Parts: sequence; C-alpha cells; structure tokens
Amino acid sequence: MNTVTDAVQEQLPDKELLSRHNQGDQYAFGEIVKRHRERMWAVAIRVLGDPEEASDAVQDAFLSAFRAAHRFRGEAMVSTWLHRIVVNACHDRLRRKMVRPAVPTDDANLDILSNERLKGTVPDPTNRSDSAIDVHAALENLPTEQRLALILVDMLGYRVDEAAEILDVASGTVKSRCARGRARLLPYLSHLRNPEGPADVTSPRGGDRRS
Amino acid sequence: MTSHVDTETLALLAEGLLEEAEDDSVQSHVAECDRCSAQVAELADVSRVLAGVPAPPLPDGLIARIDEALRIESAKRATEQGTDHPAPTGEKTPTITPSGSVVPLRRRNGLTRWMPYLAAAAAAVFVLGAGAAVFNGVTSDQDGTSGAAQDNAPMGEPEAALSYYPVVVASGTDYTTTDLAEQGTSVLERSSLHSDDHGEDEAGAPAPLAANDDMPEGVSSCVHKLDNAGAGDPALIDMATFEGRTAWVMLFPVEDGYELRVMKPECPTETDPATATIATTVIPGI
Repeated sequence: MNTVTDAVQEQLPDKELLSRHNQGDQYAFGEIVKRHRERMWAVAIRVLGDPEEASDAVQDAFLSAFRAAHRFRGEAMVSTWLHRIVVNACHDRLRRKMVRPAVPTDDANLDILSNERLKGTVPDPTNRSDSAIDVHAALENLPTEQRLALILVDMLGYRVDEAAEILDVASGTVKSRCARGRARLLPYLSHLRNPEGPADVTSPRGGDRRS
Repeated sequence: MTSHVDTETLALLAEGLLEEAEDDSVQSHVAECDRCSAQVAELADVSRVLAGVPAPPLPDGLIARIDEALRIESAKRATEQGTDHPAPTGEKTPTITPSGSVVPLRRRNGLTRWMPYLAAAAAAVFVLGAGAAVFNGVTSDQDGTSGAAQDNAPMGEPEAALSYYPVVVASGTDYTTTDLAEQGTSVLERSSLHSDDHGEDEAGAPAPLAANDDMPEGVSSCVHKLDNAGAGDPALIDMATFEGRTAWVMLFPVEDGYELRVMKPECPTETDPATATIATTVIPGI
C-alpha cells in the first residue's frame, strides 16, 4: 500500500510509526509491516510448517495489529508486541488443527503427513530440505508451549528473556520448556545428528558361542 | 553412583535448573559416566540441529497479499472515522480472509453485541452488580475512536492485543462448588453468546447480561497463561465470586459445551495456572 516511500518515515522508530498510524496516517503501518514481515514469517513458518497456513497467520497477525494498534501503550517494544500477536495467530491455527479428528502421532505417519502437506503448495525455490521437514515433524511431538520456546530460542536465536517476554512467561519457564523440549526431541532427531546413520546394534551375538 | 540420569534431568542440568544438591550429584555422575556425558553432548546437538534448519524465504505473493488486506482495512477505517457511531460498521464489514479463531468469535460477538444494549434501552433499569462498568462497556465499543472504556482497560501490557475478544460480563453470581455447573449454564444463557435466540418477550426470563469490554487488570495475562498451558481461549469471562471470594469464571469452548474454570485473581502471579484454578466443571453447550 505504500509505494511512495517517505525518506523521513523510514527513519522513524516503530513506536512513532505506530502512534502516527493511530492518528490516522495511512502509510505509517505499511512501514511497520515492511520492517517486521520477514521476522513474522520466520516465526510462523517454523511454528506451522505449512507455507499456506503460515502466510495466513502472518496476514491475520498484521490485521490484528492494525486494528489493535490503539491499545499498544508502549511499555514493550513494537517488535515484541508483534511477535506476541503472530504467536497467538499461529497458536489459534494449531489448536484448530488439533481439534480436527485423527491427528496421527506416530513417526511414520508424521513423515507422510509433512510430505503430503508440502505437495500441492507452491514449490519453494530453495527447496525446504529434508532436514527441515524432519525437524518440523519431530517438533509436532512436543506440547505446544515447549515447541514455541524451542522455535524462538534454538531455531530463531532469540535470547531467553526476549522469548519470555514474547510468550509472557518467566525466563525460568522458557528455560525449562526448552530443556524438556530438547530431551523429548532427542530420539526423533538422532538420524540428523549422526548423518552416517545409527551404529549397528545387532552385533552377532552367536560369535562367541561354541557348540 | 550407579543409576544413569534420565535425559530430561540432563537437559535441565545443562540449563542450570536443578536444585543445588541434585545438581552436584548429577554433575559428578556425568563426569564419570560415558553414557550420560554422551547424552549431554547429544542434547547440545539438538539445539545445533534446530539452529541449522534453513530459513524458507518469504513466499512471493505474501507481501502483496498483506498490503492488499491492509489497504482494504485502511479504507474501512477511513469510512468508520467519518461517522459518529462507529461500532456497527466495524462489526459488519466482512473480514478479508478466513482468519483464525479470531473471526468466529468476533463475528459471534458482533451479531449479539447490540442485543444487551437494546434490551437495556428498553428496560431502562439494569439490575446488575457492576452497573457502571457494564454501561461503559456497552456504550463504547472496541473501536479506538470512542473513549471511556479504553482508558480504564488494562492496556499496560501489549498482550492486551488479544487476537480474539471474549465476552466479559459481571453477572453478580456467587458460584459454589455444588451448583457450579448450573450457575455456569445460567450465566451462559443470559450472556450475549446465547442471546440471539433469547425471546425478549419471554415471561420471567432472566435479564440478559451486558457484554463488558473492560477486562480488569491481570485478566488478560491470566488468559495468556492458561492459553500457554493449552487451555485455549475463553469465550466468556464472568467477573464474579466463588464462595464469597473474588473469582474469574472462564468458559472455554470444548466439543459439545464449555469447560468452566474458576480462577483466583492471583492467577497472573502464579507460575502455574493449575494452582490458580479453584474449581472446574463441564457444562453442556446451548
């Protein structure tokens, strides 16, 4: 919506843009979107895995933010506030997915599920690697709150205190969710940690036996 | 030390989250146990694997899509600002995309939002515990252009931008353990969640409860806590009492009804929302 870029506007801090938006400036919010859409997308695609769903979530989030901007009081950073909104939008979608019947939970089905989900969507030029698909499928085994914490901290590299603010919990809670999440994730990711494949555990036991 | 340490404990150790005594004993075990120290290394690898997942780029059409959605929203806002009475237009305008559970709740709210107002205008008398607050909620809608309710609302935290709008009421009910389900059903029936098929001329019908957009301090952070714990978003919140003490009664939609949770007002400061829950029950949908 903002084709004429305003050099002044580009230098304004987020909070100033938001308050201009609240005063009726019709271009200010466009600049906020421009600044934050990449991060919002990065969060949404990791939480949801599916590009279509993630796109919807990002759009929903910006619309919610547009409408709710007058309620932003400036104690937090605009970026944190936007992150909360996009996390909420993703959360809503996850929950609705969970409400649908017959969500397979065993690994074999999850792999099929994540492969099928990518079929029929726009082919990604960089090709989401197999590891990305595997990681997403593995993350689906975690409770949502552990998954969100790990996505923010381990995948996207947010500091624990930033993630805590986004998720509205204490830092210690983020740490313990990450720790428990990693422990739970470990068995699902072992093949990615050891690219050469797991060691053969079926050693010939009969070798020593004398008959 | 003989027994191995489970993976979760090792992960907590790595984050420094174990109590001092346990921390010491686990550390000394790990120091001399190959298997456990290998696990600690594997856990660090989990973080490395996660960090190494390539970032998919922003899809081509998304930028244009967001811009278009916001352009429409912006045009809508311009129209609303031109009128003195902003609320109904805002509610009626179709949402651009099917957007999350955001939409069904907003829509439901929108359809029923004016019912209590009409009822109040007709009756002129409103027998409710929190009359003044309720009246604020009724006269000023969620739209940013109208005043009072907004200023009272707990906007200090950015979480105030909940992506959905629960119906908030003050029914004046003192909930009790024994009658919890019936009391919840009664409030649900009188709320705007239900008022669309509520005959106005029904003799002896209880007064409808007005939606109150003001959420007292702490409620939204309590809702967030519950949401993070997997409870979902409440469709209705009743600012009430439970056996004589202030309590927030929240109704979460579940299949065929609602899960009713009675929350202590200390909820925002409790680490675990479970400990802030005084009672729960399930009531049938209507």
